[in-house]
Amino acid sequence: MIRGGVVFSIMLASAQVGADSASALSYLKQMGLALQTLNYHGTIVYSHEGEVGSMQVIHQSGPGGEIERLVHLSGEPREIIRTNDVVTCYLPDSRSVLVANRNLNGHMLAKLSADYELFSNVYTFTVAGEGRIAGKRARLISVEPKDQYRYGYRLWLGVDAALLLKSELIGPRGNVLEQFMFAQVEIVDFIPDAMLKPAMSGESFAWYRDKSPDTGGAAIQLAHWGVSQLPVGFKLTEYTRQHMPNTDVSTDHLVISDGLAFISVYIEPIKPGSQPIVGPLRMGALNIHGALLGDFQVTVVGEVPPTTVKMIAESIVAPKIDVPKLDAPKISAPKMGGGG
Amino acid sequence: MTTFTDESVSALFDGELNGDEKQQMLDRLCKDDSLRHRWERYHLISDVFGRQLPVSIPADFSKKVMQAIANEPAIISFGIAAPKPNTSANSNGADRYSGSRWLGKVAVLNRDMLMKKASGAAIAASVAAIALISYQVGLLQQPLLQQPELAALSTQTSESPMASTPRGQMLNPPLELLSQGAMQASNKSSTLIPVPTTSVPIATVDSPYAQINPQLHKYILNHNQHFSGTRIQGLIPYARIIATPTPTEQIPSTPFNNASQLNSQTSGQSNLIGQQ
Repeated sequence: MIRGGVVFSIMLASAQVGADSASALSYLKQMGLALQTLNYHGTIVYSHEGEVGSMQVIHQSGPGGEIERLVHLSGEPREIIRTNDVVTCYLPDSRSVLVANRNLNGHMLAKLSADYELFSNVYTFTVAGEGRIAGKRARLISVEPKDQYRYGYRLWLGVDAALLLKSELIGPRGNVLEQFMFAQVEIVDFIPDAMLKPAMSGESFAWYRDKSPDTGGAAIQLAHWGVSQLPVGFKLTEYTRQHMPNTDVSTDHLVISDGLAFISVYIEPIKPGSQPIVGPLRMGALNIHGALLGDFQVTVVGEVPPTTVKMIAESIVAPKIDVPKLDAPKISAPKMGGGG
Repeated sequence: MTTFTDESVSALFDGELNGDEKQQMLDRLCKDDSLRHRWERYHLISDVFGRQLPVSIPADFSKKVMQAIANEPAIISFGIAAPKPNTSANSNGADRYSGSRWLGKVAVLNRDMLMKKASGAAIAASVAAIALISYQVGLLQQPLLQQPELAALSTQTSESPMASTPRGQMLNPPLELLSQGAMQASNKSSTLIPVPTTSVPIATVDSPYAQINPQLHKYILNHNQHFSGTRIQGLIPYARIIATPTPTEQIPSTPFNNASQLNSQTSGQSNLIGQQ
């Protein structure tokens, strides 16, 4: 009898946990929607590596899609304007403008839905309390990793409008690696056009934009790198071959994700005379691990702990080439390109 | 080029070297194991006479430190190139993210600390030299593989090694060892060089990453741009991009490329919205 009682209360407890997670996830989904569909503007304060800065954020959602603008307020007036999937970075300190396409796969949170099972063995989502951010009531969602291969998050969402008001990236010892917080934000019906235009025209700047992908040669299609060892929950979700500017060399870009954390693996032939990237590196929330594999440079980048990027960098396996070796040299021979 | 002899080490120890000589000697100390051991012995001798000797110092203490440092990720930061040796950790820097100001936030063992009397092992770490790089990223991604093929390329480990390790445990055992060793030693002696208490590692001047690799930064920028909006934090990766300084000089690889980019600038913008 007692055993039945224990089992029952365990079931209740796990049902409660499930309910908590489900509500945490549903709040996050609302947040994703809010971020995409609301018109708002405000000021964000961020800190990482002990540095603190601020930026202005403006977001508009309309019939033509989304326009988003971030302006750096402390120091150089760098800014980013995103119009749907095209991102333009204005970098006045280097007198350059970068134009790129962002990931086309859509907002990750739209996929969260009832996918708790997807995350449940690697993250715990809980509604952890309430607070007040930017003068608004906020709900704290805690995302806690279950192993040391990923980082956690603490996210404060508005109660009235589920905007992300504050976000912390949490390291393995509970330390805050990176923090973003709205100091002030207003949700409005209408954003004037002037707020969405860049402060500089960039006319005298150097523009760098996407080059067309390297489509030359059937051989390019054939060789695919793989990963022999991934932590639980991570899988390869994307594989693209890209053409880096100023070189003739194609770079393979593997994306590995557990649904929340994203890791990029860049593999390209070693350029003669270039500086190899080997070993662990860190830049703020990003951990990086480099390795040389034969003639190739492997670089793993992600907002995950160093052990994770290291594991991946060390378990990249050479591509299987499906055609006669005749074509193979086209891939591995380093070309004399612009040699950045 | 000065020859580095035992006399040079003792001259350094006694504070008899100046300016360039001192700088060269410190550089040399960081690189040269045998010179460093000599440095350690001088300090040890000095502390024995000054009765500042801890009860015991592991013989390979400095080696453990070096190992721990080697195992830690080197930090990349953006800032003005290599701070001058006399830049102290609390320099106010400039109004931008200067390397020296950044360093103030990190527990860094700079050359001034090496100069202080310390017992036991001298730790060979030096101020990180930081350089600016340029961003050159612009990538049009064409997905190459579909999902089933992707799955075939990776091996899922059903249980990753250490997956069962409780979360609370240290990720970086060497660093724990390191600080324990320091704690023991410091209990006995107050003049040990403080070991960095953060898990922040130090890129040495000789490290290849002292000069930030432009290729690496291409990757970082691409990574941030690629995932913005698809993650829980939406615009935060964008924020990272504009929060970090860019160099005052871009690195266009060849005049040809630069010219073609400038020429296509006017026609470029109207094409933007049309891109997929």
